[in-house]
Amino acid sequence: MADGILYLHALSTLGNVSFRDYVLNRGSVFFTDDSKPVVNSGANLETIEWYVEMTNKYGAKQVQSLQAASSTTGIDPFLAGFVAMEVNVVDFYKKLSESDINYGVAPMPGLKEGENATQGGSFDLEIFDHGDQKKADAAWEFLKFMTSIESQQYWASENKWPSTNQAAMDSCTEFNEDPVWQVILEVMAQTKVTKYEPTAPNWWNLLAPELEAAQLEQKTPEQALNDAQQAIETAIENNAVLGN
Amino acid sequence: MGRNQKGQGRRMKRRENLMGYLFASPWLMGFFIFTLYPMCSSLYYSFTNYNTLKAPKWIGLRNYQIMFTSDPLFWKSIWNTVYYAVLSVPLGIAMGVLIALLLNRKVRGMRFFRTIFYLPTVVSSVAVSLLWMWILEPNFGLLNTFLGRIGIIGPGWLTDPAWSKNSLILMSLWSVGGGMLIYLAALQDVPESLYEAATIDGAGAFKKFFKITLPMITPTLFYNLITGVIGGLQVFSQAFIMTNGGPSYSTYFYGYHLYNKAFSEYQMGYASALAWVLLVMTLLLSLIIFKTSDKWVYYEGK
Repeated sequence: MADGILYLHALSTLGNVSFRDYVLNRGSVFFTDDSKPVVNSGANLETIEWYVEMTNKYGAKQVQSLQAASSTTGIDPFLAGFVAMEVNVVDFYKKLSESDINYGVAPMPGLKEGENATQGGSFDLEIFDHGDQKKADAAWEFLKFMTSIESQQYWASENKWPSTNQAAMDSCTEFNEDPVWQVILEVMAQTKVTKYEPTAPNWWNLLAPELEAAQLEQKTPEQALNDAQQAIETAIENNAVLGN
Repeated sequence: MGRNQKGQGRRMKRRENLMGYLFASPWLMGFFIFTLYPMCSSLYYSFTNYNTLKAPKWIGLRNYQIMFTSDPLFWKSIWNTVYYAVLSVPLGIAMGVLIALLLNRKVRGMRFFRTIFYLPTVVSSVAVSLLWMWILEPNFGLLNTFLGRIGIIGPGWLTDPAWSKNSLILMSLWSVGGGMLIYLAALQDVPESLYEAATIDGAGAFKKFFKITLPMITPTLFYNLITGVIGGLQVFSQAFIMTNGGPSYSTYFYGYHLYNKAFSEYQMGYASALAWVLLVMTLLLSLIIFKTSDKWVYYEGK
């Protein structure tokens, strides 16, 4: 507390946020538009150095043990009252709304003034053609049902997970009157979209252990990113033969 | 007359054979459908690129070539698995024998203790894993709380790459009850007369253990070594439930790599090749143990 202003220091790795989100939110990428890995780019190196420094300020082991406590008990550190603030995904609102704690939701600040730092992916529904038209038609009917306004409103309301069907979101009074939903919907305009990489769908699994090694000071951040870049390039070469 | 008898005998033999196969058929069907067919299929898939949606595509030895030349996780997972097996199997055997020796004493309430020591073996590995996650939790886990009471700052256990494999090895000792039971049976088979003779000759407790008990239970040790090595190389569920292979791949075992390739990346061909390499490794190790068994396993009848 200084000058009547309360400064809150948040441990910005708890909840559901990682190095990946910070990279995307500073406008950097892990893959170029034509799917070439650029994991060890200058901007990513700067970000990992900041990330490692930030986590090490609290102690990597302390961070890991807090995360371990969370995964062992299944209790979120924020909901358990261990931390005053954390970054989390939108559907965490469901747990918040079911808890009896006093909470507020705010957009995650971006790198520049006035920017929000949110990113999101989505999922897709696919119909695989096995050559049976009857099954394909039935699947298509199911797909239409799942993506209808009524279904999307139902799932969004039940799971607190915004629908990509804009008509469903616009026409529902629950979403329009709820202040938390309003924050979620407002940040959508600036939300960066995560991209699926078909040549290396599991690229994050190759980067995450390297990040851990940097956090535990087993490798320098630069070495960790270079090793991750190498591992992802090798995986892409292998995947071309092995398929995925 | 003779020819008739012969024909009758042949018919009876044929009928007996048929009945035999009929009675064995549930097992035979199970073997052909659930063991032989998947084995043959996986051998074929190991030479293909197969993602379960499209038909398998023959790629010859490429899966094996990639595995040995450009998959760093293959070697990492082998190192982790070998480390785990090399430490957990002998430790498990030593612990099993030690507990069996203690439970072989004739004191009151022994049946109760035998049941208690065997009990963890019947608990599912998922429940055991969850229990140990609580025990090994660095902040408020049972073990670190206890160590803290006696002035020791406990390590991060599963969250520390230097301790994670050792933590799983420590945890594996929880289920030595299975082996213990077999050692106990073997210990009770050692003739009392041998100990009596040794006592007359002036042998002490250590000498009796190393010269009588241990040689006499070597067939059991041999059996448990073989099954332990096979089980050790297949270690998977603990890492899957407790650590997700981390931190920093430190508990990324061979079985986990196989699982990831098959059910996370849908590279069934590559996963099949991994399975066959594991089979060959297991066979080779078993063969080595069998070959050396002449030198250290003692059979009474021989």
